[in-house]
Amino acid sequence: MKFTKLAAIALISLGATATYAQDSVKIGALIPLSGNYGFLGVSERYGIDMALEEINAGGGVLGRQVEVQYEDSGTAAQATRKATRMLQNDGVDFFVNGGGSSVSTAMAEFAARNKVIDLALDPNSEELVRGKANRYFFLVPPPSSMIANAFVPEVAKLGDSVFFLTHDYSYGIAQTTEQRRVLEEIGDVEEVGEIRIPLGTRDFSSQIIAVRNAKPDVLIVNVAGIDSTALLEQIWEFGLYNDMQVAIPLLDFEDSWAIGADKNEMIALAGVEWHYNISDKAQAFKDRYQEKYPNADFPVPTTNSVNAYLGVRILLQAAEAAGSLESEAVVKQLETMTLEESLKMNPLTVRAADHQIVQDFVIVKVKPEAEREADYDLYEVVTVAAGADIVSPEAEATADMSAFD
Amino acid sequence: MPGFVEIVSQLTNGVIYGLILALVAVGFSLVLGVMGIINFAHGLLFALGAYLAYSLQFHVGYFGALVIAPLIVGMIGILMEFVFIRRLYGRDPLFVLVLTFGVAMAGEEIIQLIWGKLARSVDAPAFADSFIDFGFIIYSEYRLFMAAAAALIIGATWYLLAKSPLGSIIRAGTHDPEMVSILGMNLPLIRTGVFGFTALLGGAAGVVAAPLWSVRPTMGLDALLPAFLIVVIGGMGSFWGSVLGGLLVGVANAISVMFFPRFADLTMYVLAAVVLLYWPRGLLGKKSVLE
Amino acid sequence: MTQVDTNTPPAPARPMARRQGAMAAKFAALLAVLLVLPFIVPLIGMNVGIASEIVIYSLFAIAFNILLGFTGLPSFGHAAFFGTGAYMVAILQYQGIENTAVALLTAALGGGIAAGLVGVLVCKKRGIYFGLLTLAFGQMFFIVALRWDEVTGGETGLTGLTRSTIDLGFAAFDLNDQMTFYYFVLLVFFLSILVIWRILSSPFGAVLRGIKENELRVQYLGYPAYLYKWAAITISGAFSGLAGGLFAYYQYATYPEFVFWVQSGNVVVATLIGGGLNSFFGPILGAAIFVGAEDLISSYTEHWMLFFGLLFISVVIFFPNGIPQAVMRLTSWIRGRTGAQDADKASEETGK
Repeated sequence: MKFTKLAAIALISLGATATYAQDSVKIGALIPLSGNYGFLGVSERYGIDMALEEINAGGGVLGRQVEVQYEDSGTAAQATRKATRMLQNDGVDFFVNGGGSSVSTAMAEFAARNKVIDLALDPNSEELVRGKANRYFFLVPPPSSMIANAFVPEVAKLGDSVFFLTHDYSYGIAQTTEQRRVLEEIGDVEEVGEIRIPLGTRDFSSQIIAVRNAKPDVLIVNVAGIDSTALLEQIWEFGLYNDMQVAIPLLDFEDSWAIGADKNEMIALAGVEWHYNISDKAQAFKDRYQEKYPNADFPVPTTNSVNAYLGVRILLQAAEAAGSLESEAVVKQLETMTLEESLKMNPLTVRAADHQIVQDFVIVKVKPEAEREADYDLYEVVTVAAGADIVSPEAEATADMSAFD
Repeated sequence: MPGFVEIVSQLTNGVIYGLILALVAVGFSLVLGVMGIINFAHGLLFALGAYLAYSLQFHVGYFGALVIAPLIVGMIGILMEFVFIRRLYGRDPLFVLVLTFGVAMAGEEIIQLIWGKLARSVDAPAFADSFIDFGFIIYSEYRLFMAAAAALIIGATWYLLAKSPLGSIIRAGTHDPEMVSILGMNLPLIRTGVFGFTALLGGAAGVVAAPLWSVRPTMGLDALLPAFLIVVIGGMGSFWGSVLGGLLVGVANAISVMFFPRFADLTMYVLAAVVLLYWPRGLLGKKSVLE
Repeated sequence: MTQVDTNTPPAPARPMARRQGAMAAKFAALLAVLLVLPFIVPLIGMNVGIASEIVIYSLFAIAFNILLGFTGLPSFGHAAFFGTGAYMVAILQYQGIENTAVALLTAALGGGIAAGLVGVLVCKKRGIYFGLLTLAFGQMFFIVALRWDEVTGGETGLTGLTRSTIDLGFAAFDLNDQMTFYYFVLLVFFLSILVIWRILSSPFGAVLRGIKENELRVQYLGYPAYLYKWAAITISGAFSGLAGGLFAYYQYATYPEFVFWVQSGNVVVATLIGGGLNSFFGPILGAAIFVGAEDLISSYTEHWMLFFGLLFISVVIFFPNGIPQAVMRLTSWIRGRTGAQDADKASEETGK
C-alpha cells in the first residue's frame, strides 16, 4: 500500500513540475563550469542572473517568469548531448552557450538542426558569422574582423614594426589574418615576424627569446583564454615589455586580474569589449554588480558578464516583442532588434545578413598608478569604436540565413 | 636561420626549462619505479603545491611557502596512501591508475571549490623578480633561481635514496618485499613514507613552477602528460633517467621553436617514440615489474 | 593471417564448445536488455539519444578490451583509432560520399590501418611501456587532427554531417529519427561483438590469452607472439574505428577531442570499472555507467567532477572486480533482507 501512496505522490509532484515548466520560460545555459574555461562560466553566470533578475522583476516575458537551467558545457560532444536532453526532456525554450569557438560551432549546428535559437556568449571566431552562420544562431561578441578594424589603427600609432604571436587555431589565425589586412590598408607599418603557438603551450620562454631577437616596436599577442595568462606572466618575467610595446587585441579582464595588478603595467594597449567608464549606464551596471556580488572573483563586471547579460536581454526582449516563444517568430524579431540598454555608447543592433550582434568595441591603456581610484581601476579608455563603423561590410556576408529543410 | 647567439641562448634556456620539467617528473618517476604505481594524481599534488604557495605567500612569504607547502602536500600524500592506495597493493597496477584518476578528478573540483576557477598569480621572491642583461641575452632571474632550486632538490633526493640508510631500506623493500618483512621492517610504513615523499616532491615542483605558469585548476593535468613522457624517455625505475629525459625534452622544445615553432608540441611525442623504438626500456631504464 | 589458422593450439578448443551454449544465452539476454534500453533511459530523466551513445561507447570499450582484457596489453592511445574512424566518416561526407555502409566500412578500415601502423612500432612491447608508447602515438594523431585544418577542420572539427535514409526497397529507415538510429547502432554493435567473440573464442584468441598469461611461454611454443599482438591491435583498432564512425553520425560531427588522450583514458577507466579484465561483457556495463553517470550527475550538480571522481574511487576500493561485483553483492544483500534462508544457502555455497 505504501508503494501506491508513494507513486501517487510522485505522480502529483511530477505533474506539478510539468505545469511549472509550462508556466515559465526556460533558458538552457551551457556555459563552462569546469576545465580551462571554467572562469569564463563564472562571469557569464553573473551576467545571466542579473538579466533574469531585472526581467522577472519587470513581470517576465509574455507574462511568464523566466528561469535558467545551467549546465557545464564541457567538450563540444558533451555540450550537444546535454543540449539534446535539455531540449527534449527538460523543456528548454532557448539556448545560450559559452565555452569558446569549439563548443559554439557545435551548438550553432545543434541550433540549426533542431530549429531552436542559440546565442553564443564568448567566442570571437570569424567563422561563426561566415561559413558557420545559420538562421538559428546568433553571435554576441565581435568577431576578429571587427576587433582588427577597431584595434589596428591604434596599434599603428605605437610604432613602425610589429611581430605577431599567433595562437595556432582558428581564433588566433583569424585574428592575425584580419589584423594583417588592416595593416596593409594603413600601409606604413612593417611586419617583422610571426610565431605560431600551439594550443595548450604552458612555457613560452623559447618564443619570448625569439621575439626579443626580432626587435619589433610592437608585439601583438593573439593568444586566447587558456594559455594567455601564462604567456602574460612570462612576458613580465622576461621583461619583454621594456624592449617593445605589448598590444593585446582582445584582453579578458579575468586574465589581467589573475596576473595581479602590478603586472598590468606591461600592457601598452588592449582591446576590451567593454569598460565601466564608457557611459552612465555602464557605471550603473557596475554599481549593481558590485552590490549584488560583493565577494566576486572580479570586483567589476567583465566583458563576459556583459555579453551574457546583453545576450539574454536582447533574446527575451525579442520574444516579448514577437509575442511568442516560437523559434521562427523570435528569429524574425531578433533580426530587426535594437537594444537601447546596450551598456555602451551606441545601441546594440542585430544584423540580419549574418546574425552578428553589432556592438561598440573599447580600446584601453594602463592607467598610471597615481590616478587609480580603486585596486581594480587599472585601465583608462583610449577610444570607443562604434559598432557600425567597424563591422565588416554587409555585402561580404556569405551564409545562407534562410530557413532550410 | 637563427644566429649563433640565438642558438646558444635558446639551448641554455632549453636546459633550464628541462630542469623544471625534470623536477615535475622525478616524483612521478619514483613512485612508478619504486612502488609500481602510475600516480595519475601526481598532477593534482603538483597543483596543490602551487595553490598552497599562493595562499601561504601572503603569510610566510615565498620561502616560507617553499618549505611549508611541500610538507603539507606530503602529508596529503600520506593520507592518500593510507586511506586509498594501500588497499590496492598486489592488484593490477591499472586499478591504482583508475583510483588516482578518480582522485585527480575529485581533487580538481575541490581545488575549484576552495580557490575558485580564476587563475591565480604567485609572485617570484623579491630578490629574483626581475631580469638580468647579459649583453647577448636578457634572462629571467627567477628562472636562474628556479634552475638552482630544481637542481638542489633533485640532488638532495638522489642523496637520500642512494646514500642514506633510509634509501637502502627503500631500495631493498622494492626488490624483495618479503625479505624486508622477515627482517622485521615495517613494509606498509615504508610504502606510506615513499608515497608521501613523492607527493612532497610533486608539491615542491608546484611551488617552484607557480610563478612561471600561472596557477589554475587544470594545471595538474597539464603537467602530467610531460611527466609521463619524460619517464618513458628516461627509462622507468631510473632516477637519473627522468632527469635526463626532462633535459632532453627541454632542449628539443627549444630547437623546435627555433626551426618549426608550429610543431613545438609534437617534439615531445616524437622524442618519446624514437627513444622507445631504439632503447626499448628508455635511455637508462632497467627491467621492471611493470612489463 | 593465414599463418594464424595453421597454428591451431589443440588444448583449449574442447571446453569451448560447452561454454558456447552459456555464451549464446548471455548474448540473448544482452540483446533483450538493449532492445528495451531506449524505453528505460527516459524513466530516469535521460534523453533517448544517450542510449545510442552508451551502445557506441560499449563497442569502443569491447574493441579496446580485445587488447586489455584478452591480450593483456594496456593501450593508452585508443582514442587515435576511434577518432580516425570518426574523421573518416566526416571526411568522406565532405568529399560527397554519403553512403552509410561505405562510410562505416571506411571508418573500420581507417581505424584498422591506423592501428596496424602503430602496431608495427609497438607490437614488441608490453606492459606499461606498451601503454606509454601508444599514448605518445595517440597524441600525434591528436596534434594532426588539431593542426591539419584543411582536412580535419582544426580545433572546431568537421560539423554539419548528415545521416542518410537507408532504403531497403520494402521499407526505408530515416536515421535522423532517434529510435531508428538507436536500432541501427544496436544492429551494428551486436553484429560486431558477435564477430569479436568469434575471433576471441577461436584458436587465435586462445593464443592471445596465452600471451596475456605468459608471452614468453607462447613464444617457446613456437607462436610468433608479436605477429599475434599486431593482429590483435589491428582488429581492435578496426572495431574502435567503426565505433568512432558511428559516433560521428551520432554527433553529426567530429571534433579533435575524440582523439585526445583523455578520451583514451576514459575508455581504460570505463573498461576497468566494468570489470573488463576478466569479462567479455563487462565493458558494456562500464560504458553505460561512464556515459550515463556523467550525464545524470551533471544534470543535478555543476560539481559533477567531484562525484564522478568519487564514483571511480569507490568502485575500485569496494568492488575490486568492477561494477558486476557490486551488482552481485547488491542482489545478494537484497536477497539477504527478503529471506534469511536464501542468505544461509548462499553462505553455505560460498563455504564450500
